[in-house]
Amino acid sequence: MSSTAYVTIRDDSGLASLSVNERDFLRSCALRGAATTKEEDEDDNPSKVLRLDGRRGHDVRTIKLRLHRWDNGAETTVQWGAGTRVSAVCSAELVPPPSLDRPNEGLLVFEVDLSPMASPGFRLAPAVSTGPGGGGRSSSSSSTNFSNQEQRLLSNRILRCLERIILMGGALDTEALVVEGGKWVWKLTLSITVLDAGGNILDASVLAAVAALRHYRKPQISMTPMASITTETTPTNEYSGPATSAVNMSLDRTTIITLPTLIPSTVKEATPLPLHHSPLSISFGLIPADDAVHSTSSTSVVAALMDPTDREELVASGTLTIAMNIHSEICLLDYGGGCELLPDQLKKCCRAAQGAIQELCQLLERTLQEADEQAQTERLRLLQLQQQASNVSTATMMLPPLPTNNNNNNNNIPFLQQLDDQLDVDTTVDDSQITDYIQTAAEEAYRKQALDYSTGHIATAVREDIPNADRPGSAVTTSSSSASSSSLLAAMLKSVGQNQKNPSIDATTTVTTIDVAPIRGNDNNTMETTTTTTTTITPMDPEDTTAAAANNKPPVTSKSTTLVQPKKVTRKDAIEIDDDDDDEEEEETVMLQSEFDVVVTPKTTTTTTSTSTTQQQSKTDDTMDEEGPDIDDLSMAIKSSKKDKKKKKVHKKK
Amino acid sequence: MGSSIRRTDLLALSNLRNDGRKPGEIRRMRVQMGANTNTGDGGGVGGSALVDMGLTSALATVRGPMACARRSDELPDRAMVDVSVKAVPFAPSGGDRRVTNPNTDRRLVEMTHLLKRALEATILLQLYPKSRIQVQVVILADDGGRLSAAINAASVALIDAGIPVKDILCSCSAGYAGSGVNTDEKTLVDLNRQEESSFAGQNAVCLPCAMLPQRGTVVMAQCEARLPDFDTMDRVLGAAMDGCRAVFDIIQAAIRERASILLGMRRGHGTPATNVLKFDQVLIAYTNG
Repeated sequence: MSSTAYVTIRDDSGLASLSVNERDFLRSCALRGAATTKEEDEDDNPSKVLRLDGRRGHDVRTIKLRLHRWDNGAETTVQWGAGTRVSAVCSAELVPPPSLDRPNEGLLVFEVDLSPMASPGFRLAPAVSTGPGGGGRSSSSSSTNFSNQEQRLLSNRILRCLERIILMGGALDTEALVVEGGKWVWKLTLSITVLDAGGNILDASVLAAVAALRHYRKPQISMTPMASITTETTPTNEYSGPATSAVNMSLDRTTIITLPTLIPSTVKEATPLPLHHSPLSISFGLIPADDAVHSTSSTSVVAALMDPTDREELVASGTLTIAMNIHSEICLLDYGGGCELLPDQLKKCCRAAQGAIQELCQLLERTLQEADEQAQTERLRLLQLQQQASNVSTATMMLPPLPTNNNNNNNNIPFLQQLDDQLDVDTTVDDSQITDYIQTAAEEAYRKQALDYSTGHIATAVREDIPNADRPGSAVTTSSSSASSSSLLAAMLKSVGQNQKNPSIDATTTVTTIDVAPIRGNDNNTMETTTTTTTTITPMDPEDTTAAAANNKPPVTSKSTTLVQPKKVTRKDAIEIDDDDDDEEEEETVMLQSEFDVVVTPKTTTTTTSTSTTQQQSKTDDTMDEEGPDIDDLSMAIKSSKKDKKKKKVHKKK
Repeated sequence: MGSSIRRTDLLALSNLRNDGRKPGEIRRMRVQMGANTNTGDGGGVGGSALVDMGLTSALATVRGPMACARRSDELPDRAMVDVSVKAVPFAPSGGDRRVTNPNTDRRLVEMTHLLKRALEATILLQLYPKSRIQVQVVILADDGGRLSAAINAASVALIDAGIPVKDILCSCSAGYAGSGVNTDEKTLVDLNRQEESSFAGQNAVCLPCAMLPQRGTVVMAQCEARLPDFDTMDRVLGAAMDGCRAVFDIIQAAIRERASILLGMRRGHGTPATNVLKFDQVLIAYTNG
């Protein structure tokens, strides 16, 4: 990315933006305690220092931590004081081992992203990562830009500190990330995004990373054998002599490729990562009295400000970072120089860091525990919902979104509010909510189906059936053409049509009754199964005739099944609608009859056998008359075809 | 290694390390000033140095003070230190030879950062406002302790270039061998590659540190891996500082030797051919810990 694409009017975060007055003021604040005493009372120094935000020399800003977990992922957002916010996301995937010489080690990839969102001093740069492809990319043209080099150094420093603290410090052993030695290992990706850079983003990044790693749950794996490859070793190997070739010919190797699949956490509970300990870090900004600019004789006076803000970082000549875990073991000591330190001062800083890190560790543990409980209740709720949903109805039902109002509020509340309220979990209300919700959801689904049926919302589907459906007029034609059709399909259709109507009403039907034992049940289930094969049968319901526009013969099997159920309820309404569309039906039937001779027959028969006898009978009477010309046409068509055949035969004979 | 006694066990038996050193002993060090005589082209007087610490070798070149390449880089009240550390592809020794891009290898970038900060603490920057001091270090061979070798080389090159410094910056690494009966003898000074890498299954503790010996202040210290407590850290830090003092002795002797040769040339003794100094000295430093 070239930095010449935009113009920077004022750079508020670079070294150049620090005015002399501000720098002198900050330095005097920091060195106030240090100037009075030399080496004896250095323990009192931190309390004498008063910083811009009211802190003392060794005070850390207030930190808020928010954790979130989902299937195969965890996210942490750290709000460090008022100005620094860092987010870390942890996820994992299964990959083959990255390098051949290390088949029994997993991968832990870090990624640090500093963007102009965090600070106006940052340029747009690709995220630095330790994975393949991230470290190999050269910085191209922007590498020589000084400000970009600073940013690059900073992001690299964060990356290296993370790597050293977590990987080399022994927090996470990559050998524990192996699934199957030499074949499948876990690749953990930890992405750090700096959202707001207000000083000391290194400590915030470390806290976010460690919290994400702790909060993440690794899903279980099921090894499913996917394929088996059988390879025959043929004696085409160059190195095998004639003696071995005879042996090779008989070898037959079979390798079974197993592809591991992740099991969702609702089926099997995911496990936490094997972290030995949780190291956290704290940084000092070092301000020496003997600066390059301000040379004084007191070369050994150095003020150490714990957790520097961004302005203090600009003034500081050097930084000292110490990482420790809850057992007071030093995991990292990174003193990047920049100013001189007596060894005693170094030790004093380490001791001061110890107390601060203990508090940080306790905060982390507390927050992790609360978030873990919350996630557990969430998971239990999911399981409950699933179980109850499966008990409600066998039909497919869309589960409504979970009533996670409590949790959603946590995400929407501005971050600077009290964290305690967000993390409270109210379990008593949820259970009743769950049952109510499930019942209302079931009712809604049922009503939806019923309403659609009654008001004709599924008419589009029905329309497609209309041509195939019972046309009163088509009954006659079908009867005539039924003779010509002797296919099994027609028979099935007839039988299904019979079942849809009451078997008792057969007076006007000219349908040849073909009893099919399994279908007679009038059960919805059987109807459903049979309707899949017969797309045209759904018709018997007068409702189908409502929308007669579309004459397509689409596979409406699925919709036909739904129509079957509520049929009894809304039949009367449907009947009324039928009267309006008789004309349309006739036209459609004409077209259809010519196209689908065989299929039409059963439908017409079914229409005649509808339950509402009187009205339908009247319809059939009407349609009988209307279909007069149709019948004539069909009969004419048949006759013509017969004539053609006769002609052909005659010709052949000739 | 199929022998019943592993080399690492020798440490417990005879207090010798795998290359025959005692725990408090640094490696053989060679300092060569003016190794690269072509430094005058960059503008201004330049300096260079080639430093060998055992098998690790680093070559540093210093140019400056000179004008900044970009106006936006310059600082109004002091000089800017422009550091770049690179490693040649044939540098790593042994089986750990991986192809890494020196531009983006994060360890090298980190080394660049640390070296820059360390040099900012030693050079009297306020004498040259708005100017740039360019330092380039190349790691020619890597047998452990390359950060220390780079820092030492840069420091000697600075002196060869005649840039005023507060003190001669010296660097050495120290480590901790882990479990042992006699903990005093487990702090090692100047770790080589084998000791830096995983050592008997544990992550070795390696603490490279840089200090200004005559002023007695620490400028750079780095350590990862777990240290049980502060006392251990104190001991390891102390051992590293002792190693730095030993390095300082060698460097100081080398500088004096070089200065005497240059003065001799001025008086007419010696020829330009003897401009390149070859200095070789073995120094043994015993630590207390």
